[in-house]
Amino acid sequence: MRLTDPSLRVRALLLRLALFALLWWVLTEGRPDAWLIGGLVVFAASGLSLILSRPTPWSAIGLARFLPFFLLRSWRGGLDVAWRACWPSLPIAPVIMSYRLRLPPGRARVFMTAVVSLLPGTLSAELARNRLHIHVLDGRAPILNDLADLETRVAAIFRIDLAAAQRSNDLVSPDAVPCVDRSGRMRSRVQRS
Amino acid sequence: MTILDLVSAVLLLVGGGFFLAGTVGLLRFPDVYTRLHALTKADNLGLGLVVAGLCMQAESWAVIGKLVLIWLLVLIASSFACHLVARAALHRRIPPWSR
Repeated sequence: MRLTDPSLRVRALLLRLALFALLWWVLTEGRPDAWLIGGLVVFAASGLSLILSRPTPWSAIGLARFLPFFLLRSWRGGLDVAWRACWPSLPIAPVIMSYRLRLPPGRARVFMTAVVSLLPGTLSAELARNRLHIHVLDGRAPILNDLADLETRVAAIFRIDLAAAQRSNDLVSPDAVPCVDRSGRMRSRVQRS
Repeated sequence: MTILDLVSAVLLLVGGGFFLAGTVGLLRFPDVYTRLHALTKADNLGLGLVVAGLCMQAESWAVIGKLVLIWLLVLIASSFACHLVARAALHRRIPPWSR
């Protein structure tokens, strides 16, 4: 999605200037004499970043809501895998599932792919067409709700209307089905509805 | 020893514990996918706790910023590296381990 409104482009530029200035301040640990080069670098980096990565709509509230959710889930994810690794009977039942994404292609999907690997029991293995193939550490755990919940939160960050995206992709409700059999073969194309 | 030192020490020790658990997982888990689970999740949480513990000892906000930045960069790198390894394994048709 591109921003057409010029005021939004200005906002994106100001935001990136602020972020790169903060980064420079952190890297130089606030040394005042470093700002001579720093000013130049901050402007150059902001300009380059606008060329390399176009501004997309995003929501500060969506991001603010996502952070505590992410930290809590990371904590649960680490704890979960730690006890499974140390428990004598090794309580795991791995399976590869295929999750039908409602998010449209683009940054939101890539973001979701990355975050899935950091959350409890799931690992993103492949992004193909509209499906995310996920390795699940314990196939008995109900992951569909977790994934749908995560997807809703990611959509909120990127200001994506999931219901509309779902209609335009001609999809019904989200689903997650096992997609790789014991010999490692992918099942023939999962049916699209 | 102040209360801050105590909290910091606890965070560092618990963080180290998660690194240890991640390594145990790397050794005990049966295949490439499950080992990736252990490495990404346990180590990221361990590093997060170590960073939190070190932040309590930091002398300035800039140092705290630097520590958090390190954690973020490691999160991004390990998440994508893990995805790429899993993807390569899937493309090579390495079957997921099952009992």
